[in-house]
Amino acid sequence: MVVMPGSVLVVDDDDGIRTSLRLALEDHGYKVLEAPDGETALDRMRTEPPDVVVLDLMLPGMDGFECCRQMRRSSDVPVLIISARGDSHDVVAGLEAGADDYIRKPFDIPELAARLRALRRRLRSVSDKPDELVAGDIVVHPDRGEVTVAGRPVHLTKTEFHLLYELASSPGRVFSRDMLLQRVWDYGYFGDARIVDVHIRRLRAKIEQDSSKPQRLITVRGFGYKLEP
Amino acid sequence: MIAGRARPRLGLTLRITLAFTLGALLVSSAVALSAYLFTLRFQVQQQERITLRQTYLNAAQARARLIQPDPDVPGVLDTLTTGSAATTVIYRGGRWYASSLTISRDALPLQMRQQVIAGSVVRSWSRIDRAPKIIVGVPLPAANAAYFQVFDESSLQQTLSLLRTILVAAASATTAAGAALGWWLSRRLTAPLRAVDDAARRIAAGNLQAELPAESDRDVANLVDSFNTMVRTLRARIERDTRFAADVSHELRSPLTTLATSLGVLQARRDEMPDRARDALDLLTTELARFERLVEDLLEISRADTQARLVDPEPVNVGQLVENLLQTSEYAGIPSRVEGDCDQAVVLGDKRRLHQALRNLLDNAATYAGGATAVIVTTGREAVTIHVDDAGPGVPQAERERIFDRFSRGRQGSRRASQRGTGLGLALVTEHVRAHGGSVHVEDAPSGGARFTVQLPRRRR
Repeated sequence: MVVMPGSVLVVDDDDGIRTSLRLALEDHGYKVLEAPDGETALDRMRTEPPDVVVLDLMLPGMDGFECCRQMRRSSDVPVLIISARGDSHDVVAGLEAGADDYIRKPFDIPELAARLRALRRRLRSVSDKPDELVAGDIVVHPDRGEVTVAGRPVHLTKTEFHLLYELASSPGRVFSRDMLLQRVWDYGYFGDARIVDVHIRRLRAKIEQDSSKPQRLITVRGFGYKLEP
Repeated sequence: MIAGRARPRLGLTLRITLAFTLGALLVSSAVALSAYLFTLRFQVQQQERITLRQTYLNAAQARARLIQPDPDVPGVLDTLTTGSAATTVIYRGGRWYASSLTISRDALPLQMRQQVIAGSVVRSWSRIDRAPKIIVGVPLPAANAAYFQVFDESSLQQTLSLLRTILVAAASATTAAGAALGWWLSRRLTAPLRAVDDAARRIAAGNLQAELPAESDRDVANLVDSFNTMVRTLRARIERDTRFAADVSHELRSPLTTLATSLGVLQARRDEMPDRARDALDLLTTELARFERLVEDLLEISRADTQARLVDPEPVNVGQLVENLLQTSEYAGIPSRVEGDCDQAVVLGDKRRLHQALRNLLDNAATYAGGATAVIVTTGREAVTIHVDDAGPGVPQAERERIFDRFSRGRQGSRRASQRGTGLGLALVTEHVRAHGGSVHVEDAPSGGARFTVQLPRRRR
């Protein structure tokens, strides 16, 4: 599965990081757009929608969280947040705001490139490649990238869709967080399980009637998650 | 402090309890003993008075009969009223008469018989068939006779025996009560001490929030106040220090990212560079990697300082962890084995931190000791043990503790360490392992070289 590098929007107030990222990502074949703050970033999203966004959480004026939320209103583009404090609540808050994954400073370019590649990955093909996956009243159309819950269409981001697709490929089967991290985010042994947890929460908000009492996407304590068949 | 350790003495609690017990024992025994002696004397005197008076009365009666010519002595014995507890013996004209078959002349002490017959009134305590008796002898010279009466005092003995039992029981109860009171009082007195001890322990274990609850007792309130002030000062200082280290590390991260990214761009053009520029680039790359590691280690260690316990522990299979680390790193060739059931080698912890601890041990071996030669995981009943053996010369006894200190470097390490290590690797191992409730130490490996041993408490099901 080769993914062609596309355009990436780098949002960071630090000129050094922005410039060096542009140089490095251009080396990897990306077309790099830059924005030093949230407002400029949202403008750029409108004029020249990128394939993926790299977003620093610490921005002057509108912070990264708000910027991420506003981007999500109009776009399901994958967003990778840069956190200076990978151990803090920043990461979870960023993911809650709609980001798809995070990377900690300092990172190296191969690592960043791998994350960007994973976010833009196509769906893993399920064995007999059906036109639709069905789990209870949830229907996933992999080709069209559409989901309906009880006949009603639901809008998901690319990563949320990817996650639901994996779960719906075997309804009733329990997926561990590690397994989901590996399949959706392409993490090896050391993925952060919080990424899965936050995405599950976001999915529930969209597909459950009451996300505090999930009926469709069930937590199996100590094991992981499953979709009710 | 005075030089030398104070000789260990009994604890305060024990001493107070002992003092109370001893005091209660002394007082209660003295009271019981004097009560007993007083009763004994009173009872004995009273019995002696009663028996004497009765003997005189009976002797007078007998005398009246015996002075008649040719008296019927057995008849006299029959007519006397003595009660069942007394026996009468009469001597007359060289012959002995007794009112009982069991007590006769021989029951009376010889010396007493002689004294009475010789004309004296004699009162004597004696034992006949183990029963205590009072014997009173009254001479009856007018009748040429002597009158003896033997009183059985078994009931007095029983009374005294009962009294003894009661007094011993009372004294014991008082002593026990004294001990209990002493214990209770000492617990109450030392309660603030124990609270301080408990809080100090919790602080030592990393819980800097441990403070003593407010105390209404004025003496204790001072202690509580100064203790809590000390804790707060300590906490503020530690927080300031760790926050500073963390802040510095965070601030360094952005320029580090720019440096690493720019270096990556240069690296991609390494082949186009002249030799001298290439050498300089390689030097930059090596040093930047070390700098990054140092910043990460500093951040990690300040995080460990503020957060002594694990946040969200999960089951981690140590066997798999080792296998994964060896497979996905430059240490792929190092032989490893799991002794015992691999499925049981599970600890409750943080995968990332355990991975880093193990990785630091392998880095340490590679940097200072020619590389690790084996990684062995052993599953015990209580613990999962990880041995990391290396090919170096071993760690001298004197340095075995010190090498786990921050920025401390072993003697052999001192030269090369400045080029590669961060000086925090083993200190971080200690922090990570401690956070898991485990321990780490170094000894000689059976194959020569050093053996670093990490012990982690096994997960209980």
